[in-house]
Amino acid sequence: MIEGLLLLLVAFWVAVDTTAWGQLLVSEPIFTGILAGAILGEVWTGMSVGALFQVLWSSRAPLGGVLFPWAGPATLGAVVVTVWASSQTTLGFSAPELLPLTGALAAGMGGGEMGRRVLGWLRGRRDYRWAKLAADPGRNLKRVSRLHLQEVIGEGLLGVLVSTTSVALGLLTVLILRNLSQIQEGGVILFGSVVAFGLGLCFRAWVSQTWQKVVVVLGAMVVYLGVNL
Amino acid sequence: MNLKTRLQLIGSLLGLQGAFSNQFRQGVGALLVLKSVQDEGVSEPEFIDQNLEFFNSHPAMAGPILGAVAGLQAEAKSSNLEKGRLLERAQKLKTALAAPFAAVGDALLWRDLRGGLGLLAVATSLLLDSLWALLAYFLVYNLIHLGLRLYGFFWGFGNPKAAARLLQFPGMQRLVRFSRQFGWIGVAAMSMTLLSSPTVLSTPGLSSTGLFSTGPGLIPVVLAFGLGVFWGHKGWMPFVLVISLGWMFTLLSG
Repeated sequence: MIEGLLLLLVAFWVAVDTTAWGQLLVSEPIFTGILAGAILGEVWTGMSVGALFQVLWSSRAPLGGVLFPWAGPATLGAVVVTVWASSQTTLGFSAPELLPLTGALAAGMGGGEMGRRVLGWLRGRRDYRWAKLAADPGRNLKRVSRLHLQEVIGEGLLGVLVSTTSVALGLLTVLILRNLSQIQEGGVILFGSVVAFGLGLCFRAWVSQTWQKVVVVLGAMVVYLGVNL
Repeated sequence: MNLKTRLQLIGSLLGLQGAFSNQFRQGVGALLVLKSVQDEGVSEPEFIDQNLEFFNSHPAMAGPILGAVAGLQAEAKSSNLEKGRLLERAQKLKTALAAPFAAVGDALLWRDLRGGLGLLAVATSLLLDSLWALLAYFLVYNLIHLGLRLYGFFWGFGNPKAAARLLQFPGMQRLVRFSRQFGWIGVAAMSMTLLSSPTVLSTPGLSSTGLFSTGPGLIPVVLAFGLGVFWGHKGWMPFVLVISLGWMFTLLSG
């Protein structure tokens, strides 16, 4: 019960921190993951899931106010699903990785995309609301402040909704796929692919000079060969 | 400026994007920040009309801009002779500085510090099995972010002319040049961390994850990286391909 309430509070905080108030990095997947993991007593699991979404989404910056997956609430949902599904693996599932990872991906990606659309809808609604206030003869600063506060709280509550929906999405995925969980190495391949895809996005975004490309690729090759030969 | 006004300003500056919309962007937030220097001679509806407009910059870089605008408006309040000229200058300054400051803020804070430094911190944290690197990332980012957003406002308020020239300051230019390196270093660090430590993301639930994978497992990992590099910007489709590939190889290898 207390865990649930704390998770809802954190969901509200990270939702508000993304854009509306603060932007102090709490809504970055890695920090949201650690916070959610700490509440559930699984800090390292939270960090792992946070790291997954950090790599996947860190190259997608809100440049020019562009909409992007709502990472904080979605990551929180993914951590909850991972912790829940991990405990389910002890009940007889043979693959320890695949089930929680798939649930985390479904929760995170589904919640992130849903959050992006919710934020888009919210911005459109605000256009109407503020244009109406600007044209109202009884407009005053107290009303502006009150409406502004309502917007911040509303955005936080929508974030909570996104988090809970992403949990539901992840749990549903786990329940549907649990019969496929005999595959032993599946989690490694699936996880590796998603992390590699995220690294590819980051490579495209940040590694622009030829010498940088050479350093990154040669370094990775040397490390890989050093480990495997 | 008394303590109560300062605290209200900090709250308003942190909530600059609280009512972010397509039409006004940060305009509502900027209005609430500028409320602190409202001229008592101007009625509230008139003040709202003057200041509720499109304003779009980086939220941290908006600190010095709004500080300079508020400084000029405060000057106008106490000066009867140059009032109109100062108010017009404040309005022009707000419009003129928003875009260039946003470009620098987006690159410095969103791309390099939040993204690039974040990746470097996560890689270091995983490699050293410690949360200290993440704490350092949190502190460095917020020192620069809050420094610009909060301190930048009060500094701009006292020095409107200097705030308008912030991007020309050598220290600012050095910071932007230096932080540009975080992105590629972060990619290199994360790649090498995942390749060198196969169980770097080990947890009770995720017992042996990481990029370490030989045999058929390496193929989807390399393909996924390629998809990210060449087609990652095309929205959902590449990601769906990655998941499908992962599943396909998972089923084949199982």
